[in-house]
Amino acid sequence: MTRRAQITKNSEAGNALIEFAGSLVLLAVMFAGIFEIGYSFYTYGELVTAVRAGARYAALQPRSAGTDPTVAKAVRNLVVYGDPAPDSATKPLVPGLTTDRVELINSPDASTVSLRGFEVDALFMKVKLDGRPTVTFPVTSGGSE
Amino acid sequence: MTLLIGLAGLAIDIGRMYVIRAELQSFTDAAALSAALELNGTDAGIVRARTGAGRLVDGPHAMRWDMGTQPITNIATAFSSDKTTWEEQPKKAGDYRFVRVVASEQAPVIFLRIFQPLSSTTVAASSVAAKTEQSTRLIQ
Repeated sequence: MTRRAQITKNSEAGNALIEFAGSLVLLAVMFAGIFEIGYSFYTYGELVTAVRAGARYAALQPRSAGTDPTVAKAVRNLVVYGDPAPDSATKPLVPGLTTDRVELINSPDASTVSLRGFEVDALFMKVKLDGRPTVTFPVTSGGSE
Repeated sequence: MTLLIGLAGLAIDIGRMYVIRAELQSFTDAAALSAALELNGTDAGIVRARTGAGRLVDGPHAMRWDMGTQPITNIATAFSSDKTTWEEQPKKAGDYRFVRVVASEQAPVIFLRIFQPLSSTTVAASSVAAKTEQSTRLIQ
């Protein structure tokens, strides 16, 4: 092998390294993207279930004039912690969710629960949820779920 | 590459379908209850039940699908007195006590297309509510 050929071969080996590094970065970005979107969907599904539970709970409470503050507190706790009266060690169902993000609107015949200004923290991006998910349940006497 | 797209399909397409299903299920639960509340044995009650089921998709607190972005449009309301035969347009109001609400939407398919030649798939949810003299309840 001549010296010139030796140099060419070495420089090609360097190219392969750079290509590998480039594709690794691309792969990592794609995996991160898939994770982020998948995680956002998962979290949103959890939030829908939580908000639904809160709205149903609120709609089953006896109606009085205005919204009873203790009922409103129980609804907010149910959405955030999955429990109307959680103890202090309970963690929120979705990381970062706090009770002041839960909005409860009671009308004489329905209860609406939605999230206000909550951001889902999905690693590299934040998904802003303002007014969604929203669930409205009609007021029913008796029943369960 | 196929593996990567398959993974994306699993995480994104299927994840999206589960979200849509949860949203539609919340809606049908609430809509079936709204409809059942209006049943009172009269024809007017049946009409109000049908509008009651659809009312939750309008207004400032409308329930939506696809991460709360799309309006729910495809809603089928049916009535029954025995939970076995369902009538969309009951002739006589009689003693219809059960309402079934089915909501179905076309969930977009992005990545799983490489396995199946389709651009969307139907995601549906269904709820049944019953009205008795004492209460109105979800039974399914």
